[in-house]
Amino acid sequence: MTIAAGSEFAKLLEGVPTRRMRRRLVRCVAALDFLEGCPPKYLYTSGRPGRCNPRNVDCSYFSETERVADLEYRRRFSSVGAATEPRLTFFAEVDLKHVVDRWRPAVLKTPGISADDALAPWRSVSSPTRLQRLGLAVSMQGRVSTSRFASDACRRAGTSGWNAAVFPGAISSPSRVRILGRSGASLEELP
Amino acid sequence: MASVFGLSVAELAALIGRTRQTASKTPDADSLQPLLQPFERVARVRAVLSQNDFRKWLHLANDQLDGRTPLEAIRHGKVAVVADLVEDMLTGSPS
Repeated sequence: MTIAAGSEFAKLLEGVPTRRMRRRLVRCVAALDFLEGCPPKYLYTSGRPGRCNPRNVDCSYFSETERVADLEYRRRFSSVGAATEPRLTFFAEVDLKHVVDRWRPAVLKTPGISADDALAPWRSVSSPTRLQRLGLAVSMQGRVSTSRFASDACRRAGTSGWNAAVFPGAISSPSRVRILGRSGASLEELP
Repeated sequence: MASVFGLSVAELAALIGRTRQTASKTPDADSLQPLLQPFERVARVRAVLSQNDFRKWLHLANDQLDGRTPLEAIRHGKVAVVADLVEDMLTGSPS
């Protein structure tokens, strides 16, 4: 994907309402796979495509609560009975200054942002979705670093919950993300 | 690799754009490894699934693949998409 593919959102990102996010975020991972990884990594930053990022744009995803992280994890294993396999739960302490919160009416009223974008299929599409193109634009600027979006796993489970897509390249101090280890020490952090 | 997926060598060879003879005679050839890498990424899900459950998963309709089974998606040339899905499964990436 070219830089031009994300440029349609550059102006939008200059004016979109943002808010600060100071809280703990959560992620569940498969323990047996984690134990095979060496050295261990905790942020799970990846250029794999996700709901909010196209391929080759680095992004770290988290859920807002353990309940949501658990639903996100179990969703994909529910059909094959592996939801009871051991899993690990990581907690991240975040302080992020400019978060686009897709729950806020002021954000949803912004031209170019639609509530429907957040739940549109993205995995098998032939070209990046609007949300992924927005992610490309986020990765190329320094104001907005994070998008808060509704959990599709929660929606499918008949409940609601929220996730966060953090773009490491757009985070600058004093904003930060810390994976919490022993007694609150950092296992890994951004920036 | 073919047996892991329950495919014949001929079918796996076709999926990576090679002949059965090439895949059979020189399965360790350097030129084949990049083509087989996405299949290895898919097979990583066996870290948490038994071989039986892996085969079952390959044949189950998957809402993350627009209702296709992973094997159908692979047969439609989407092995990289299935490999991404496996990594998202293992790493609990929110959907």
